[in-house]
Amino acid sequence: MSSKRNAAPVAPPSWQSIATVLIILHLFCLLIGVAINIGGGKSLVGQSLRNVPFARQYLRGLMMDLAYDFHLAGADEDDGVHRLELVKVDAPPNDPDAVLAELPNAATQSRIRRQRYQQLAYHVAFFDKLFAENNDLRTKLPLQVAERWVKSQGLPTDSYLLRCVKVPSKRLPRAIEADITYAYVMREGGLRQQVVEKPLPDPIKIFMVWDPNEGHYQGAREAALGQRALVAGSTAAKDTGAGK
Amino acid sequence: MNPRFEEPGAKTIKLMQAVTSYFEDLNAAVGAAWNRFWFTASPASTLGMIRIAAGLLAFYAVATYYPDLELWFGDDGMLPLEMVRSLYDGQWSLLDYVPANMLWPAYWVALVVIGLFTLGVGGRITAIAATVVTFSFFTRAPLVTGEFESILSFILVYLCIGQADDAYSLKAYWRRHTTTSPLPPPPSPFNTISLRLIQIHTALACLMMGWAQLAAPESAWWSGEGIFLAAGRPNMPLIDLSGLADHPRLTAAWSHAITLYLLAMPVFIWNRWARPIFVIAGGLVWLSFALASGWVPFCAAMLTATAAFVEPPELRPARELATAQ
Repeated sequence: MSSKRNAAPVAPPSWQSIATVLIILHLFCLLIGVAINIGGGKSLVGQSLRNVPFARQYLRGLMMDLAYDFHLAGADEDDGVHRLELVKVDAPPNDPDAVLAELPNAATQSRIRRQRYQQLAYHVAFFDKLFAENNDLRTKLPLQVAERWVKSQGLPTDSYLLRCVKVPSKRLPRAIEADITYAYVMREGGLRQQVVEKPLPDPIKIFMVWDPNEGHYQGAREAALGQRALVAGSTAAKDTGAGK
Repeated sequence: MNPRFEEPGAKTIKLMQAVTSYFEDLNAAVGAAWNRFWFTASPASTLGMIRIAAGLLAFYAVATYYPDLELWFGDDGMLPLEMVRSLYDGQWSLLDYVPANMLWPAYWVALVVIGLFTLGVGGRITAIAATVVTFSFFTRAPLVTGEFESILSFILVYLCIGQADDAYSLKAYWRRHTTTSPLPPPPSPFNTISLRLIQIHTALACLMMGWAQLAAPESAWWSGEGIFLAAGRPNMPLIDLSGLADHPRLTAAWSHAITLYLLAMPVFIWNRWARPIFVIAGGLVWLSFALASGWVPFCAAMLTATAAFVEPPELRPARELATAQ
C-alpha cells in the first residue's frame, strides 16, 4: 500500500484540469435547467435557481434550457391534437362549408410539417391560457397567424373567426369505461344512475374584423359568460401604429 | 513500545493518519476513474457514425422548412421577429440579422454547410457552423419546434467537441487514398469527452421522459394506455394500430415496456454486461414508437443518441482495466 502511494503518479496534463472544471460546470448547469423546467417550472427550488447567474443564458444558447420531461403521449387536455380553423363568421351552425381552411390539413404531406402546424396551434392554446389576464398578449399570436393565413389563402379581407380546436386523445375503450362517472338523477320511480359525460374542451375563438384605417385585422377573443371581450390589434398593426 | 504505555496523543495522530490516508486513496481512486472515464483517448469511429446520422437529421429538419420558409421566417410571415422575441426572450438566431431578400440564399447556404458537416469536411469549424445554422432555424421559430429539435440540438453541440470527421468522412477517404500515410488519425481524448457527454445527456433525457410518463395527469402510462394514445393521433402513425383497442393487455405490455426502458436505461446502461441489452432494447423501443406514433425524426434522433453507447473498443471496461494496469 505504502509502496503504491510512494510511487510518483503521472500528473495529468493541465488542460484536463480545466476540462474537468468545465465539464462539472456544464453538468451543473444541465441539472439547473432540469430543476427549473421540471413539471412546467412549478418547483420552488427551480424558481430560486433561476437567479443563478449565466446558467440560463448558457443553457438557452445551447438550446438545453428544458427538462426533457416529454410525455410522448397522454390523455390530458393539452396532450390531444391542436388544430387551427379559419371559419366564415356568419356561417350557420351546421354549415359544412363554414371552415375555409385548416392547419394542419389532411393534404399536408410530410409528418414533420403537420407536427409543426400542430405545435403552432398548441402554442396558440398555450399562450391563450398563459396570458388569460392580458387580452393584448392573448390575441397577439392568433391574430398574426390568421392575418398571414388569410393572405396566403387569397381570401378577401372580410371578417373571420379563428378557431383553435383541441381534439382529445383517442382513448382505449376499456380506459373510457374505467373513467366513466355516474350521477344519481331523479327519474320516474326514484333515483337512477346516469352517465356523466365529459364535455369536450371549448375551442378558443377569436373574432377578426378588418380595420381599413390600420390596414390590419383587429380581434376579440370570445370570453366566458360574465367576462368582457376586449378588442386587440395584430402585431403588425401595433408596429404601424408605433411608426406613426 | 508497549501499547499500554502509548501516549494518549499518539492514538489521535494514528487515527488522523488513517483518515488522511483514506481520503488520499479515495481522491486518487476517484481522480483516476474520472480521468479514465473522460480523458481516455479513443478513435472517432462511433462519433463518425453519429455525425452522419445527426447531420442527415439536421439536413432533413432544415430542408423541410422549404415549403414554409417565408411563412415561418419571413418578415411578413406568421411569426414576425418582434413577436417571437417578446414571447421568447434571451434566444438568438443568425436569421434575426438576415434581410428579407437574403432569406432564400441564407437557406441554401445553411443546407450546404450542414451537407459539408454530414460528409465530414472542414473539421470542427464546419461542425460549429452547422450547429449554429441549424440552431438559427430552431430559435427563430421556437413555436414550431418540439421534442425532435431538443434531442438533435444536444447531439450537434457535443459533436463540436470531438474530431467527428476523423472517421467515415470525405476527409478520411482523401487521407487514405491521396496521402502517403494511410494510417488512421491517432485517438483523441476529445472524442471521448464528446461521446461521454452525449451518453450522459441521453441517459438524463430518458430518465426525465420516464419520470414524465409516471407523473403525467390521467395516468395514461400507469394504466398502459400510452402507446394507444400515441398511435391515435390523426394522420400520424406509420401503421394502422386501431386494432390494439381489442387487445388491451398487449397495449399495456407495450406501453409498460417503454416506460420500464426509459426508467431502467439510465441506471443499467453503465453496466458493461447490461449495456448491449439496453442498446438493443433502445433500438426496439424507438423503432416501435416511431411506427406507432409517426414521430420518425424524434425516434431517429433518440436512436442516434443511443448509438453513443456503442463505444470504440478502447473505451470498453476490460480494455480500460488492462490499460490502467
